[in-house]
Amino acid sequence: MSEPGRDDVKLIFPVGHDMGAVYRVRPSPHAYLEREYEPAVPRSVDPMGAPRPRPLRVEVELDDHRVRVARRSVRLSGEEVAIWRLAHGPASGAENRLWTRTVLDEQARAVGHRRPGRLIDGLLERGVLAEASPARADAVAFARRHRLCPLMVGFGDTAERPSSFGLGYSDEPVVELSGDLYRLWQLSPRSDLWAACELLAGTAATAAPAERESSHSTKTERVLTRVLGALHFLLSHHVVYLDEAVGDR
Amino acid sequence: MHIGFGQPLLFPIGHDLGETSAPGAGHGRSHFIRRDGDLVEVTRRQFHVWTTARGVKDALDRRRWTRGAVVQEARRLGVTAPGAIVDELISAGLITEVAPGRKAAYRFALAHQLHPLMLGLGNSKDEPWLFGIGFGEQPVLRVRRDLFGIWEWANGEDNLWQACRTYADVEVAAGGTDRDHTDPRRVLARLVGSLHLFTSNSAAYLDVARRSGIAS
Repeated sequence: MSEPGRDDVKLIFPVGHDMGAVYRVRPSPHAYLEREYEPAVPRSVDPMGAPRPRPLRVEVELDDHRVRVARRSVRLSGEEVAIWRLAHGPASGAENRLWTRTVLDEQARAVGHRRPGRLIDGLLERGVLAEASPARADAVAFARRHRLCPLMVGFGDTAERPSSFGLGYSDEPVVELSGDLYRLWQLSPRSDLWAACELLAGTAATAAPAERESSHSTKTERVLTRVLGALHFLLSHHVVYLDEAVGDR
Repeated sequence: MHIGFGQPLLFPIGHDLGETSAPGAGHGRSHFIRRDGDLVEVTRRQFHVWTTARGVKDALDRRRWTRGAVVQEARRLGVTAPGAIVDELISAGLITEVAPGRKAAYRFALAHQLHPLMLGLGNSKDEPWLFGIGFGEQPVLRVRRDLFGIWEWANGEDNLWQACRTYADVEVAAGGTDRDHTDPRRVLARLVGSLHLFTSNSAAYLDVARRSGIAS
């Protein structure tokens, strides 16, 4: 895990589970939608063997984009979701840049958003973006307020590449993680990010004798600093998403 | 018609973490499954059978994923004595059996939880009744609205039964009257019949409920 370089840097993160764009059907209640599309001709009668939906009696229009945060659904406009997705970090993974509000603003302007600052403010207010300084006290508050939820399944390491751990879906790995990040992904479904870092700190203590002397909390804070520095890599590859911690998990 | 009607369905419990070198076990390699927060080490044969219990995508529309189906598929993959391994995994809580009928489905739902492993990709203008799950532009699978709703919201609930109740409550509040959507028992029955869609595609995993509804 990389260490963020400056103490005063404030990283910006997307919060929530992406649910995609929603096409809403009017005026028919959504509840009966699949009934509306039941094949008018039974399969056995249809010579092509395929169900033929009835012609639409309703209007289908693009509503909004949805992101689930804890137990609420947040609706984002096209512009807002574009900013929210940019906040995940550099998709290429090649760019080793700290993903701050300033960088997000620049990136948004580069892809044609004229006044991204206003949108970023709105997203921060609605809790789908959150900021944290990795080496400051507010990082601990951030870690207690949020949790990481793992996505994909593990493919483990191989004898040829023992320190590289694959994650993926549909029977093949799509991302490779270092041992540290893989352990974080394994431990992430904890009550909150702080609890996951405490577990990681416990593991790290056995491997780093010098750290055993420092207090438990300090060790965990160090781990958290490194975790926050690596978080955009995990978010941009969609191997985790951040959610609000709701307690009692 | 489905083969295996009337037999219990088998479901894998836990999140597949892959094969790694076991810590402190020399050069040995093991498969790990995270169940209820614990990393559980399983043998390669156990892992094959557990993976088989997730279901085989192409076979799900013609057969129910019962013990018979799991044993047959595991044997086809070269696992010897798979029936005994199914029993081992049931004892370890890594596989659960759900007998047909509402009572067994209810007990299963009270004790378990569903966790999504992919992103929601929304629906489309042409087929607004189907919701995509996957990554990027291409869905790995597309499911009915009730399945998508429960897949999306279940991990914020105490258990799967609570997720079905919440889904039905929201449906009633929205004015729905279709009992497949407003009666939590029917919602659950339809869900149990479709859960292998999620597990076989690694779109979600089942785990022990955070708060089981079963009185201890």
